Amino acid sequence: MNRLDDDEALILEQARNGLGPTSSDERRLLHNVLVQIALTPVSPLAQSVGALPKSPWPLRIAGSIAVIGAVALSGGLGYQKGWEAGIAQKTRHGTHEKAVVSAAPPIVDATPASAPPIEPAPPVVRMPPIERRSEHEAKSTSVSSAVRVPSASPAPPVALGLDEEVRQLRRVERAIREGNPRLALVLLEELDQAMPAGQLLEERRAAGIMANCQLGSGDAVSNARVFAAKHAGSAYLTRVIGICGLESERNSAVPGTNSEIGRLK
Amino acid sequence: MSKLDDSRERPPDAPKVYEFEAIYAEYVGFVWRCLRNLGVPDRALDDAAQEVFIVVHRGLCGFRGDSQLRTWLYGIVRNVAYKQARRVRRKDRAEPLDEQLRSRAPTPSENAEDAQAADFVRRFALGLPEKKRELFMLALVEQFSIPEVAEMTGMPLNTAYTRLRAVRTEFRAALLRHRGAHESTG
Repeated sequence: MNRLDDDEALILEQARNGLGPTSSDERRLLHNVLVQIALTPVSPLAQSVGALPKSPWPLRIAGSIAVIGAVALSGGLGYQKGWEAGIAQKTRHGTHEKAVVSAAPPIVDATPASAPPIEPAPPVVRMPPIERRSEHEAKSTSVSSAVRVPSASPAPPVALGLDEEVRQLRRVERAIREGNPRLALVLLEELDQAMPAGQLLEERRAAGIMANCQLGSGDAVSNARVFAAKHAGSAYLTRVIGICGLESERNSAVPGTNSEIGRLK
Repeated sequence: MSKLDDSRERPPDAPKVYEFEAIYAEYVGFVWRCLRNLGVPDRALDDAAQEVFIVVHRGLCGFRGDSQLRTWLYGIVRNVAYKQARRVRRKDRAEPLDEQLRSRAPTPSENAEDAQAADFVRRFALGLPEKKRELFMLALVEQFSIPEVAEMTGMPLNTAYTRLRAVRTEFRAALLRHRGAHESTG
């Protein structure tokens, strides 16, 4: 190797170091990305799929399915309204009594076939809970204190308000709608640990059942039946039925009545 | 908290699960350097890198295959970099390249020699036409093999070899000039 080769190798090595991020850049960026992921509304789904450049075939297929899923989500959006309505109702009352929704539950056509795609192994994302804080606080706080990395020993429950519970449940719901049930379950688990006695336990239960149904868990469908029996008037029932494939059972019962679903066991 | 990839009901034939943070840890340096070498100004780096990883996070679903991941990731970086570059060009159309590249003083944690080398390499890269710049960056700076670079850029393999020879010659010439200038001023 002549001198120029040595020089070349050396300057490229130095340039790699000099061009790369510092460790504080890395921490700041990771923190910002995680916050962004947690707080970005779902609407850019189609945009993000469109933004994927020259994605390899599995992604192109996933993208196409996601678009189909987005269409199917028109039903899901109806569900979202119901979800929001349910939460809003609970928020107003500030109680965990069973939600009695006077309006008809949202019409959802999301049969299992048209539901958002369920990838065999969706990405597993460490999603540390982002504490509520002002933008200024978020910027000035170090990552280590702002991001709680899940550890083997669960953190002791902390006092969280209903607002925080609602925010976390919205993340769960978003994960379900994006076809990411594992993330939904992780978020639910975090919520259960941080707030074992929340005010939206029915919503948590519904979300957990839907996520497990998306995963195809063994007992998910029977849990869905139990949920249907216990929460016949739930705003989330139609969605649970759609995702867990109980439509045929509903059709074989007296059609259109949630109470009939409730009897299915 | 359960382990995240220790999924409760993971099917036995499920493909490899990509953990977002593992990907972040492995590729953040690559993403950052590529963005800089593709012309994203330092003041826009944070936003650009953030955008890359958010797109990565959204698109990870269903992903499998390491080489595909790298190719896909680089495609995202390239898209984001060119989008940012367009944005910056629109914003400060009159700003000369020298101003965009105005070297910031190295922070105490940065090595001055590394910073100088980075500045030289970045200026050289930005003086190259787009295709050559990508080749220089991926093959010489990032040290991917030529077949890998060809796959990542979609460039025919023979073209990649030919261009790399040319880029390497140009880089050596630039380096000689750089050394010469340093020795004469030093």
